[in-house]
Amino acid sequence: MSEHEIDPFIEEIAVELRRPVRFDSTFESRVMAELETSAASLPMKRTASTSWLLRPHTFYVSPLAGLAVAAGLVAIITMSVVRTLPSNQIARADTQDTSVAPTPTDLIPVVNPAAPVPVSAPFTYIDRNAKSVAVVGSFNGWEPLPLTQSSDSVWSGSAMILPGRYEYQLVVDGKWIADPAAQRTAASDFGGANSVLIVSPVPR
Amino acid sequence: MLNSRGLPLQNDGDAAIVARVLEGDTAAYSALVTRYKAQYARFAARMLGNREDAEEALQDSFVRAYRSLAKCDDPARFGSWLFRILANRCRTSGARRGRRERTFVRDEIALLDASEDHPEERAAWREEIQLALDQLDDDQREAFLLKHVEEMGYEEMSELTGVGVSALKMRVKRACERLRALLQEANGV
Repeated sequence: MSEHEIDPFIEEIAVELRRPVRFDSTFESRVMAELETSAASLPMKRTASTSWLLRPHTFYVSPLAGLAVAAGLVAIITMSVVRTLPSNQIARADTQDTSVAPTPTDLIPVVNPAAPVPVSAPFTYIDRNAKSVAVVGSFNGWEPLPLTQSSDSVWSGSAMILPGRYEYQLVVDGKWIADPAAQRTAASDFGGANSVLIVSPVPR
Repeated sequence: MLNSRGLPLQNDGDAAIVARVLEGDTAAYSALVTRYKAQYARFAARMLGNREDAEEALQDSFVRAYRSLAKCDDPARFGSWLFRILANRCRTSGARRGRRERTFVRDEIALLDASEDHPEERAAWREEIQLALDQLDDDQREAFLLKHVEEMGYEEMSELTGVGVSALKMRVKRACERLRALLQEANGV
Protein backbone atom coordinates (compact mmCIF):
# COMPACT_ATOMS: atom_id res chain seq x y z
CA MET A 1 0.00 0.00 0.00
CA SER A 2 1.49 3.38 -0.98
CA GLU A 3 1.69 6.21 1.49
CA HIS A 4 -1.12 8.10 -0.26
CA GLU A 5 -3.63 5.26 -0.03
CA ILE A 6 -5.81 5.23 3.02
CA ASP A 7 -5.86 2.02 4.97
CA PRO A 8 -9.42 1.71 6.37
CA PHE A 9 -8.25 -0.08 9.49
CA ILE A 10 -5.61 2.54 10.32
CA GLU A 11 -8.05 5.31 9.47
CA GLU A 12 -10.56 3.85 11.91
CA ILE A 13 -7.93 4.00 14.63
CA ALA A 14 -6.87 7.51 13.66
CA VAL A 15 -10.44 8.81 13.74
CA GLU A 16 -10.75 7.74 17.35
CA LEU A 17 -7.41 9.31 18.24
CA ARG A 18 -8.31 12.59 16.54
CA ARG A 19 -11.08 13.31 18.98
CA PRO A 20 -10.26 16.41 21.02
CA VAL A 21 -8.81 16.05 24.49
CA ARG A 22 -10.04 18.51 27.05
CA PHE A 23 -7.82 19.56 29.90
CA ASP A 24 -8.95 21.01 33.19
CA SER A 25 -10.45 24.48 32.65
CA THR A 26 -7.87 25.93 35.05
CA PHE A 27 -4.95 24.75 32.90
CA GLU A 28 -4.24 28.14 31.37
CA SER A 29 -4.42 29.99 34.67
CA ARG A 30 -2.11 27.42 36.25
CA VAL A 31 0.48 27.95 33.53
CA MET A 32 0.29 31.71 33.95
CA ALA A 33 0.48 31.42 37.74
CA GLU A 34 3.66 29.38 37.41
CA LEU A 35 5.17 32.01 35.14
CA GLU A 36 4.35 34.72 37.67
CA THR A 37 6.18 32.79 40.37
CA SER A 38 9.27 32.31 38.19
CA ALA A 39 10.18 35.97 38.08
CA ALA A 40 13.84 35.05 38.51
CA SER A 41 13.75 33.15 35.23
CA LEU A 42 12.08 35.77 33.10
CA PRO A 43 13.11 35.59 29.47
CA MET A 44 15.72 38.14 28.55
CA LYS A 45 15.59 39.74 25.18
CA ARG A 46 18.82 39.39 23.25
CA THR A 47 20.16 42.87 22.89
CA ALA A 48 23.22 43.87 20.95
CA SER A 49 25.24 43.96 24.16
CA THR A 50 24.09 40.55 25.46
CA SER A 51 24.63 39.01 22.05
CA TRP A 52 28.16 40.41 22.05
CA LEU A 53 28.79 38.89 25.46
CA LEU A 54 27.52 35.50 24.33
CA ARG A 55 29.65 35.38 21.19
CA PRO A 56 33.23 34.07 21.25
CA HIS A 57 35.84 36.76 20.60
CA THR A 58 39.52 36.71 19.80
CA PHE A 59 41.82 39.23 21.45
CA TYR A 60 45.35 39.97 20.33
CA VAL A 61 47.84 40.88 23.08
CA SER A 62 51.49 41.78 22.67
CA PRO A 63 54.04 39.61 24.58
CA LEU A 64 54.90 42.54 26.87
CA ALA A 65 51.26 43.20 27.72
CA GLY A 66 50.75 39.46 28.28
CA LEU A 67 53.61 39.39 30.81
CA ALA A 68 52.19 42.43 32.59
CA VAL A 69 48.74 40.80 32.83
CA ALA A 70 50.27 37.52 34.11
CA ALA A 71 52.28 39.38 36.76
CA GLY A 72 49.15 41.25 37.83
CA LEU A 73 47.20 38.01 38.17
CA VAL A 74 49.94 36.42 40.29
CA ALA A 75 49.91 39.48 42.58
CA ILE A 76 46.11 39.36 42.96
CA ILE A 77 46.11 35.61 43.73
CA THR A 78 48.93 36.01 46.28
CA MET A 79 47.11 38.85 48.03
CA SER A 80 43.84 36.93 48.16
CA VAL A 81 45.55 33.84 49.64
CA VAL A 82 47.11 35.95 52.38
CA ARG A 83 43.78 37.66 53.10
CA THR A 84 41.88 34.35 53.42
CA LEU A 85 44.27 32.87 55.98
CA PRO A 86 42.63 32.11 59.32
CA SER A 87 43.93 34.26 62.14
CA ASN A 88 45.94 31.41 63.73
CA GLN A 89 47.63 30.77 60.38
CA ILE A 90 48.50 34.43 60.04
CA ALA A 91 49.88 34.46 63.55
CA ARG A 92 52.00 31.43 62.76
CA ALA A 93 53.32 33.10 59.63
CA ASP A 94 54.06 36.31 61.54
CA THR A 95 56.09 34.56 64.24
CA GLN A 96 58.26 32.64 61.84
CA ASP A 97 61.90 33.50 61.39
CA THR A 98 61.76 36.48 59.06
CA SER A 99 65.08 35.45 57.53
CA VAL A 100 63.26 32.58 55.85
CA ALA A 101 60.54 33.72 53.49
CA PRO A 102 57.38 31.63 53.72
CA THR A 103 56.76 29.47 50.72
CA PRO A 104 53.32 29.42 49.08
CA THR A 105 52.60 26.01 50.64
CA ASP A 106 53.20 27.47 54.11
CA LEU A 107 50.54 30.06 53.46
CA ILE A 108 47.77 27.85 52.11
CA PRO A 109 45.58 26.45 54.88
CA VAL A 110 45.05 22.71 54.51
CA VAL A 111 41.36 22.91 55.38
CA ASN A 112 39.16 25.95 55.22
CA PRO A 113 36.26 25.28 57.63
CA ALA A 114 33.99 27.51 55.58
CA ALA A 115 34.67 25.70 52.30
CA PRO A 116 31.87 23.50 50.93
CA VAL A 117 32.47 19.79 51.37
CA PRO A 118 31.94 17.35 48.48
CA VAL A 119 29.07 14.95 49.01
CA SER A 120 28.79 11.42 47.68
CA ALA A 121 26.01 11.34 45.08
CA PRO A 122 24.82 7.86 44.10
CA PHE A 123 23.60 7.00 40.60
CA THR A 124 21.56 3.92 39.80
CA TYR A 125 20.13 2.77 36.50
CA ILE A 126 18.16 -0.38 35.82
CA ASP A 127 18.41 -1.94 32.39
CA ARG A 128 18.70 -5.63 31.72
CA ASN A 129 19.89 -5.14 28.16
CA ALA A 130 22.53 -2.43 28.63
CA LYS A 131 26.13 -3.31 27.81
CA SER A 132 27.67 -0.14 29.24
CA VAL A 133 26.35 2.71 31.35
CA ALA A 134 28.06 5.94 32.35
CA VAL A 135 26.95 9.24 33.80
CA VAL A 136 27.96 12.60 32.37
CA GLY A 137 27.07 15.96 33.80
CA SER A 138 27.94 19.51 34.57
CA PHE A 139 29.51 18.28 37.82
CA ASN A 140 32.28 16.44 35.97
CA GLY A 141 32.70 18.53 32.86
CA TRP A 142 30.46 16.11 30.90
CA GLU A 143 33.19 13.46 30.99
CA PRO A 144 31.76 9.91 31.22
CA LEU A 145 31.93 8.36 34.67
CA PRO A 146 31.36 4.60 34.16
CA LEU A 147 28.78 2.87 36.36
CA THR A 148 29.38 -0.72 37.38
CA GLN A 149 26.96 -3.56 36.93
CA SER A 150 26.10 -4.90 40.36
CA SER A 151 23.53 -7.45 39.20
CA ASP A 152 21.88 -8.53 35.96
CA SER A 153 20.09 -5.26 35.47
CA VAL A 154 21.34 -2.81 38.12
CA TRP A 155 24.08 -0.34 37.26
CA SER A 156 25.39 1.90 40.01
CA GLY A 157 28.17 4.25 40.95
CA SER A 158 28.77 7.47 42.81
CA ALA A 159 30.67 10.71 42.50
CA MET A 160 31.92 13.20 45.07
CA ILE A 161 30.20 16.45 44.16
CA LEU A 162 30.14 19.89 45.76
CA PRO A 163 26.68 21.02 46.87
CA GLY A 164 24.73 22.72 44.11
CA ARG A 165 22.43 22.19 41.18
CA TYR A 166 23.73 20.14 38.27
CA GLU A 167 22.40 18.74 35.02
CA TYR A 168 23.34 15.30 33.78
CA GLN A 169 22.48 12.46 31.45
CA LEU A 170 23.15 8.77 31.32
CA VAL A 171 25.13 7.26 28.46
CA VAL A 172 23.64 3.83 27.79
CA ASP A 173 25.50 1.87 25.13
CA GLY A 174 26.76 5.16 23.73
CA LYS A 175 23.36 6.83 23.60
CA TRP A 176 22.71 9.86 25.81
CA ILE A 177 19.41 9.68 27.66
CA ALA A 178 17.75 11.45 30.56
CA ASP A 179 17.76 9.49 33.80
CA PRO A 180 14.29 7.90 33.99
CA ALA A 181 14.49 7.98 37.79
CA ALA A 182 15.24 11.71 38.04
CA GLN A 183 12.61 13.81 39.75
CA ARG A 184 13.35 16.90 37.68
CA THR A 185 14.44 17.59 34.15
CA ALA A 186 15.62 20.67 32.31
CA ALA A 187 15.68 21.45 28.61
CA SER A 188 19.03 20.62 27.09
CA ASP A 189 20.76 23.16 24.88
CA PHE A 190 21.07 20.39 22.31
CA GLY A 191 17.42 19.35 22.35
CA GLY A 192 16.00 16.67 24.57
CA ALA A 193 16.13 16.89 28.31
CA ASN A 194 18.81 16.82 30.94
CA SER A 195 18.12 15.33 34.34
CA VAL A 196 18.57 17.66 37.27
CA LEU A 197 20.62 16.72 40.31
CA ILE A 198 20.41 18.78 43.49
CA VAL A 199 23.25 18.10 45.92
CA SER A 200 22.52 19.45 49.39
CA PRO A 201 25.33 20.32 51.78
CA VAL A 202 26.01 17.93 54.63
CA PRO A 203 24.83 19.46 57.93
CA ARG A 204 27.73 20.29 60.28
CA MET B 1 2.49 28.14 6.29
CA LEU B 2 -0.13 25.91 7.76
CA ASN B 3 0.20 22.68 5.88
CA SER B 4 -1.03 20.28 8.48
CA ARG B 5 -4.60 20.05 9.55
CA GLY B 6 -3.49 19.51 13.10
CA LEU B 7 -0.42 21.28 14.38
CA PRO B 8 0.07 24.92 13.40
CA LEU B 9 3.72 25.21 12.44
CA GLN B 10 3.80 28.88 11.66
CA ASN B 11 1.69 31.80 12.71
CA ASP B 12 2.91 35.28 11.94
CA GLY B 13 0.88 36.64 14.86
CA ASP B 14 3.09 34.65 17.21
CA ALA B 15 6.11 36.83 16.45
CA ALA B 16 4.32 39.93 17.73
CA ILE B 17 3.22 38.16 20.91
CA VAL B 18 6.71 36.80 21.53
CA ALA B 19 8.12 40.32 21.10
CA ARG B 20 5.65 41.67 23.67
CA VAL B 21 6.56 38.97 26.18
CA LEU B 22 10.25 39.67 25.71
CA GLU B 23 9.56 43.33 26.37
CA GLY B 24 8.20 42.30 29.77
CA ASP B 25 4.49 41.79 29.09
CA THR B 26 4.18 38.36 30.70
CA ALA B 27 0.39 38.38 30.42
CA ALA B 28 0.67 38.38 26.63
CA TYR B 29 1.99 34.83 26.86
CA SER B 30 -1.51 33.63 27.74
CA ALA B 31 -2.48 34.20 24.09
CA LEU B 32 0.08 31.59 23.07
CA VAL B 33 -1.13 29.19 25.74
CA THR B 34 -4.70 29.60 24.49
CA ARG B 35 -3.66 29.15 20.87
CA TYR B 36 -1.72 25.92 21.30
CA LYS B 37 -3.33 24.33 24.33
CA ALA B 38 -6.02 22.24 22.64
CA GLN B 39 -3.98 20.75 19.80
CA TYR B 40 -0.95 20.00 21.90
CA ALA B 41 -3.11 18.56 24.67
CA ARG B 42 -4.29 15.91 22.24
CA PHE B 43 -0.78 15.03 21.12
CA ALA B 44 0.51 14.82 24.70
CA ALA B 45 -2.45 12.75 25.85
CA ARG B 46 -2.07 10.27 22.99
CA MET B 47 1.68 10.06 23.52
CA LEU B 48 1.46 9.49 27.26
CA GLY B 49 -1.89 7.70 27.50
CA ASN B 50 -2.63 9.51 30.72
CA ARG B 51 -4.39 12.84 31.13
CA GLU B 52 -2.52 13.78 34.31
CA ASP B 53 0.89 13.16 32.75
CA ALA B 54 -0.17 14.99 29.59
CA GLU B 55 -1.28 18.08 31.53
CA GLU B 56 1.96 18.07 33.47
CA ALA B 57 4.04 17.66 30.32
CA LEU B 58 2.25 20.44 28.47
CA GLN B 59 2.33 22.83 31.41
CA ASP B 60 6.03 22.16 31.87
CA SER B 61 6.63 22.71 28.16
CA PHE B 62 4.87 26.07 28.19
CA VAL B 63 6.93 27.15 31.20
CA ARG B 64 10.20 25.97 29.65
CA ALA B 65 9.37 27.72 26.41
CA TYR B 66 8.65 30.92 28.31
CA ARG B 67 11.94 30.76 30.20
CA SER B 68 13.88 30.14 27.00
CA LEU B 69 11.86 32.49 24.82
CA ALA B 70 14.89 34.63 24.01
CA LYS B 71 16.44 31.55 22.37
CA CYS B 72 13.51 31.14 19.97
CA ASP B 73 15.29 32.17 16.78
CA ASP B 74 12.16 32.36 14.63
CA PRO B 75 9.25 33.61 16.75
CA ALA B 76 6.83 33.21 13.83
CA ARG B 77 7.46 29.48 14.26
CA PHE B 78 6.90 29.49 18.00
CA GLY B 79 4.39 26.65 17.63
CA SER B 80 6.90 24.43 15.92
CA TRP B 81 9.55 25.24 18.53
CA LEU B 82 7.11 24.60 21.37
CA PHE B 83 6.17 21.29 19.80
CA ARG B 84 9.80 20.13 19.85
CA ILE B 85 10.01 20.98 23.53
CA LEU B 86 6.80 19.07 24.18
CA ALA B 87 7.89 16.05 22.13
CA ASN B 88 11.15 15.84 24.08
CA ARG B 89 9.27 16.23 27.34
CA CYS B 90 6.87 13.44 26.34
CA ARG B 91 9.79 11.12 25.59
CA THR B 92 11.26 11.83 29.01
CA SER B 93 7.90 11.26 30.69
CA GLY B 94 7.33 8.16 28.62
CA ALA B 95 10.19 6.41 30.32
CA ARG B 96 8.51 6.91 33.66
CA ARG B 97 4.87 6.65 32.80
CA GLY B 98 4.63 2.93 33.49
CA ARG B 99 4.67 3.84 37.17
CA ARG B 100 1.41 5.71 37.00
CA GLU B 101 -1.94 4.12 36.44
CA ARG B 102 -3.38 4.94 33.07
CA THR B 103 -6.56 6.76 33.88
CA PHE B 104 -6.98 8.46 30.58
CA VAL B 105 -9.31 6.00 28.93
CA ARG B 106 -11.46 5.79 32.02
CA ASP B 107 -11.69 9.56 32.08
CA GLU B 108 -12.84 9.42 28.51
CA ILE B 109 -15.59 6.98 29.37
CA ALA B 110 -17.07 9.55 31.71
CA LEU B 111 -17.13 12.04 28.85
CA LEU B 112 -18.82 9.77 26.36
CA ASP B 113 -21.46 11.40 24.31
CA ALA B 114 -24.77 9.89 25.37
CA SER B 115 -25.97 10.08 21.79
CA GLU B 116 -23.26 7.67 20.60
CA ASP B 117 -24.35 4.22 19.59
CA HIS B 118 -23.20 1.46 21.93
CA PRO B 119 -21.13 3.79 24.13
CA GLU B 120 -19.64 0.98 26.21
CA GLU B 121 -18.40 -0.92 23.17
CA ARG B 122 -17.01 2.32 21.80
CA ALA B 123 -15.22 2.96 25.09
CA ALA B 124 -13.74 -0.54 25.09
CA TRP B 125 -12.49 -0.06 21.53
CA ARG B 126 -10.89 3.25 22.48
CA GLU B 127 -9.21 1.63 25.45
CA GLU B 128 -7.80 -1.12 23.23
CA ILE B 129 -6.47 1.47 20.81
CA GLN B 130 -4.75 3.45 23.55
CA LEU B 131 -3.30 0.31 25.10
CA ALA B 132 -1.95 -0.79 21.72
CA LEU B 133 -0.54 2.70 21.13
CA ASP B 134 1.17 2.53 24.53
CA GLN B 135 3.00 -0.60 23.43
CA LEU B 136 4.72 1.10 20.51
CA ASP B 137 8.22 2.51 20.86
CA ASP B 138 8.17 6.23 21.60
CA ASP B 139 9.63 7.00 18.18
CA GLN B 140 7.03 4.91 16.38
CA ARG B 141 4.14 6.31 18.42
CA GLU B 142 5.28 9.87 17.77
CA ALA B 143 5.63 9.27 14.04
CA PHE B 144 2.25 7.54 13.84
CA LEU B 145 0.48 10.34 15.70
CA LEU B 146 2.05 13.06 13.56
CA LYS B 147 1.22 11.25 10.33
CA HIS B 148 -2.22 9.81 10.97
CA VAL B 149 -3.66 11.85 13.81
CA GLU B 150 -2.16 15.29 13.18
CA GLU B 151 -2.25 14.52 9.45
CA MET B 152 1.13 16.01 8.66
CA GLY B 153 3.21 15.42 5.54
CA TYR B 154 6.56 13.68 5.86
CA GLU B 155 8.50 16.83 5.02
CA GLU B 156 6.78 18.69 7.83
CA MET B 157 7.36 15.81 10.19
CA SER B 158 11.01 15.77 9.27
CA GLU B 159 11.34 19.48 9.90
CA LEU B 160 9.60 19.16 13.22
CA THR B 161 11.43 16.14 14.55
CA GLY B 162 14.81 16.48 12.88
CA VAL B 163 14.50 12.89 11.65
CA GLY B 164 14.94 11.99 7.98
CA VAL B 165 11.91 11.29 5.79
CA SER B 166 12.94 7.68 5.09
CA ALA B 167 13.33 6.91 8.76
CA LEU B 168 9.96 8.49 9.52
CA LYS B 169 8.27 6.44 6.81
CA MET B 170 9.76 3.30 8.27
CA ARG B 171 8.59 4.23 11.77
CA VAL B 172 5.05 4.90 10.56
CA LYS B 173 5.00 1.65 8.59
CA ARG B 174 6.17 -0.36 11.58
CA ALA B 175 3.75 1.43 13.88
CA CYS B 176 0.84 0.58 11.57
CA GLU B 177 1.90 -3.06 11.34
CA ARG B 178 2.28 -3.34 15.09
CA LEU B 179 -1.03 -1.63 15.82
CA ARG B 180 -2.80 -3.90 13.38
CA ALA B 181 -1.26 -6.99 14.95
CA LEU B 182 -2.00 -5.89 18.52
CA LEU B 183 -5.59 -4.87 17.85
CA GLN B 184 -6.41 -7.92 15.75
CA GLU B 185 -4.90 -10.11 18.44
CA ALA B 186 -6.98 -8.33 21.11
CA ASN B 187 -10.13 -8.94 19.08
CA GLY B 188 -9.25 -12.56 18.34
CA VAL B 189 -9.02 -11.95 14.60
